[in-house]
Amino acid sequence: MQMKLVYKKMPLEELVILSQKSDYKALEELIKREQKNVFATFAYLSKKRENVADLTQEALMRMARGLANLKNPKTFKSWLNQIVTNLFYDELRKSTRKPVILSTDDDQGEKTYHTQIPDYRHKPMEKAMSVELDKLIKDEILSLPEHFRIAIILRELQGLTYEEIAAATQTNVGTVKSRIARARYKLQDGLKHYV
Amino acid sequence: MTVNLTCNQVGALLSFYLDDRLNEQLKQFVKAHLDVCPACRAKFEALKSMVSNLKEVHEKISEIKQEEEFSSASPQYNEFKTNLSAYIDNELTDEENIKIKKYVISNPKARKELESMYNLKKSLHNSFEKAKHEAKEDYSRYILKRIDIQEEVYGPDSFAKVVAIFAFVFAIFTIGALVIFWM
Repeated sequence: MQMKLVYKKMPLEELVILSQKSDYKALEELIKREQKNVFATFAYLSKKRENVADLTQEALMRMARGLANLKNPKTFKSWLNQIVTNLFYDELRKSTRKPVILSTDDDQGEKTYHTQIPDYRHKPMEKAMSVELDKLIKDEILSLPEHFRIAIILRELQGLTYEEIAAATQTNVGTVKSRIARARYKLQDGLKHYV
Repeated sequence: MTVNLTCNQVGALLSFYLDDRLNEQLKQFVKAHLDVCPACRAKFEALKSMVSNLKEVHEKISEIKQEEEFSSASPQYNEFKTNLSAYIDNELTDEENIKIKKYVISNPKARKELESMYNLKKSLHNSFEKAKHEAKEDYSRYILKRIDIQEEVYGPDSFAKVVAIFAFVFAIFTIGALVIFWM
């Protein structure tokens, strides 16, 4: 119990280094500390809710396995986000290969929020009382083009610098800057009645 | 005390009355006159509508002026719009930072846009924190277990262990054989 407390109070870098030295207790704490973050990130990245848990697990697994190859423990956060980004792009590639099923009674996924948001816009009273702003924000983020979405999430939710985002998404800082700006204006426009 | 004002007197006071700049007593006198004198009443209404029209026109002009000043045609505004997002992320050069600060100070509209940008940031942050809070599942055990199994089967450590055990068994056999042989 005493030992567990020690790990809980440890700074991230220390946990990373201990984990690299096969200290499983440190690795356990590291996973516990990052899993909420990774889960939430995928929740905002992936349009398919049912994939979020699997993606999170896979990302954490890759983290645990690949940790030994991480040279500089200080870059842990951007390294982990690189894993998250790669998984996200993998999933995108997978889902584009699948045929799109169009059905009138299929309310899952993409269609739901597109029909919901305009509804709320016309009912400001209801909005004030019952609409969950979080859901709206999430839906707006999910409706952004992929490149914009990943850029704004890595920035706002993960707190990466433009340079780190550029590295993770394999582009340059100028592109990151413009993607984030455009993502923000799009979100602002979509949420103008609420934020 | 009531004082009956003449039409000329009321005429002279009318614009002050309209702007509500007369003292309370004088105001009452003018009002009393307007109530009974249709000619002055008509004059007052005309003045009132003229002033309100003027105000409207004035407002419109200043609106247009402001729009022109900060319109998408203005290069400063364009630059502000492009850099605003990077500004709140602290990703601009010092020079660009100062430019934005100066522009925001002199522009109420730009200030509003900056505020709304910050609001958006705050909302996103809150929303994300909530999502983080709602993530309940614990993956640590499962992952540690899987890594453990893999290391046991394929890992370099387990290979070393197997070699060590073989070496140990071999050593015992050798010693045993030596002992038997010696006896």
